[in-house]
Amino acid sequence: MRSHKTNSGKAREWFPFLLPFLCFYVVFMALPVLWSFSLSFQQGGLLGGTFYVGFQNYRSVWDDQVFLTALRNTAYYTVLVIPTIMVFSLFLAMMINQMHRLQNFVKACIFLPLLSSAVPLAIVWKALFTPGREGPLNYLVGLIGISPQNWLANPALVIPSIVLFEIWRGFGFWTLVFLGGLDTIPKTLYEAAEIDGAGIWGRFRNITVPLLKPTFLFLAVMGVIWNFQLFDAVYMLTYGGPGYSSYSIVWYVYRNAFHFEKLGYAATMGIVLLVLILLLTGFQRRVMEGK
Amino acid sequence: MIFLLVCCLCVIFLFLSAAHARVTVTLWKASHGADPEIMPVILQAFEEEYPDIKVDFLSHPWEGWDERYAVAFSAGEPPDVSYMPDEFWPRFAGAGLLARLDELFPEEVAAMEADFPEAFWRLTSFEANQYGVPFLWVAIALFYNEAIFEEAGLTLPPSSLDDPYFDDWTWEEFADVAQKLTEPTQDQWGYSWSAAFRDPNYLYPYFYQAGTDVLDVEENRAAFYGPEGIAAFQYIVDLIHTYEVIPAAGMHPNFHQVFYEGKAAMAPVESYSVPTIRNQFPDLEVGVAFNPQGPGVDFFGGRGSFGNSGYWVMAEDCPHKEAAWQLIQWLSNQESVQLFCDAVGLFGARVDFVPDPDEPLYEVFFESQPFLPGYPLHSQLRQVHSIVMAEAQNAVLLSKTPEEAIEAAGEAVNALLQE
Repeated sequence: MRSHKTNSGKAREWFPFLLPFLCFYVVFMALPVLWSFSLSFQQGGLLGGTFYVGFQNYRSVWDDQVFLTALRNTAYYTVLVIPTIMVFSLFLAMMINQMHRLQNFVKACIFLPLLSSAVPLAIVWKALFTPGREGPLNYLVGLIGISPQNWLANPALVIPSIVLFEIWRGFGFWTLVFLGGLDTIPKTLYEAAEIDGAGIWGRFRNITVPLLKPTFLFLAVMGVIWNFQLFDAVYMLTYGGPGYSSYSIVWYVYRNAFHFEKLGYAATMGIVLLVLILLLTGFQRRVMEGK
Repeated sequence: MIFLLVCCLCVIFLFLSAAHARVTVTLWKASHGADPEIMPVILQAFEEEYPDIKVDFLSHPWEGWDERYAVAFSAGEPPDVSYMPDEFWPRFAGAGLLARLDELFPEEVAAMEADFPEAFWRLTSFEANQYGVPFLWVAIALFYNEAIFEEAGLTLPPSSLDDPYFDDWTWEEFADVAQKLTEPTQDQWGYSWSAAFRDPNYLYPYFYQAGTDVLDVEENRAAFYGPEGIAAFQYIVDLIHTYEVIPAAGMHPNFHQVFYEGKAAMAPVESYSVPTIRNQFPDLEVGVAFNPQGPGVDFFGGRGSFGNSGYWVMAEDCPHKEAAWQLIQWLSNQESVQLFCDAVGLFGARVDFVPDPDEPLYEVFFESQPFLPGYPLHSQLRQVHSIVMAEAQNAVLLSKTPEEAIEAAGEAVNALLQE
């Protein structure tokens, strides 16, 4: 009884400090999600108003070939981008971790793309993706004997091209997180392993990877959440084309909400996306935590 | 003392009444480049003429247009007057968010009709009501590189209705000429065109030339869903894959640049690009021609070209409709239109608009006015664009045959229109 009193007394002390964030969370996060959920049972749009249709949107979304294509594209994009950026960033982080000089300068440099707005970056990358022999990327691949490609207009290449752009844009953050993870591993473990005769691969496999597990989990979960919301690269580089080859779910949600006057349908897709991300995140946690 | 006090109160009352009488009209317009410089000049003259009206003007970029207007209108805080192109405003009119000008100002609207070309005036009415007043228009015409034609010893495409070559300038002739002017090994192309665009401006002329519109608004169905639509897609696919006269297999992200750099003999180019060509590519010897005639001779002579126009519209929620109407009339009068269009390099949608007399390339655009079908006015047109462009790209990429692509687009559009 006494302890209960103490706890409630403490609650009275910390609750006012929590209140501003709680208000922010309720107004700008919880309520919009609830409102979206309510909208997902309606049809209509911003201009003409909405009306209740029950579960009709949830039924028709699975018959919508464009939505299914967008879902496939988003999954394909996520499957490509997360392992690639993870391997690349980990490799880079390990290299930077070995550096004794200029480490901070290199960290700042790799973080730079994240500080730029996506718009100028997309303009630069659009120029890099120029088709024909004059395209810088085509020049590079030409050096290894690959013929010029129309990167953003070829259905087979458009998603990998977006992946390339997003990896370049995001690898700085991933690398810094890995560097943070590497910093937490005691050097003595590596020294002991070296004395025991473990090679580079052995140390990596038996020390680095297991001790970076929380970092892998964090990046994998956040990677899925962020990349399932792929939007700005599509908006600026491809506008969903060619055909529907680079439609992502969020791009299709945006088109429906603001261009097609289908706010309710867009909300339905948003809720489907939310559920998908929740399921994937739960699955990832179970797998990576070994449950 | 009391007399003085009463006088002061009267003065204050009169001052407050005068201040209260001055109404503010909000005006939004996406910028055509020189808007921030030229619009204040036009609006200052308006405020001097109508001292009891203050205009609160916002010039904004085109990017994010849909979000900006959809949110403003749905929140009940729309601009009183706004500039909307023909493919944008029917969505707002269909939702009852725009004022019906013919009901509010029937006499003035009727009196204005004679000031505007019929092609644009008819695009101001939607579902039997008038919602807009024409302001400006742009069109696309076939530009050609004179030097390439002369070097090949070929006749220049027709730049006048009286040109003896005009009748023979058909799809077949165009393909033949383009083939003669193509030399892929030297990166020279007969025709620079692309389906890799978000807007259908370069695609729809093929529907028109094949003999069909995009939508049949009366019957609320996809007009292109039929043999004409297939013929249009087939012709494009043939130009790309059979005759091989188009660079980057019809998916070049910047096909105009190919033409500007002298690597293509012909290209569809917008009227507002003429100043760009003159300033940035002064050595390019260009001419402007009519489109070749397709098989759809009964539909705009089989030479339909893309043109669209922009309108001044008033919000239904506008609290000062009289003042807003004064502003619309001012913005669409001869002086304002001429002043604005001279500054930004666009064409005024008035019969008395005079294009730059020193620019011969503009002539064909005006002679082509009878060949401009214009967008069908439909509230779901933007979504139709999206569907048709996606399927056109599938056809161009050979992911689908022209028949399959037209069928997919037609079914999707019809399903959309039936919703």
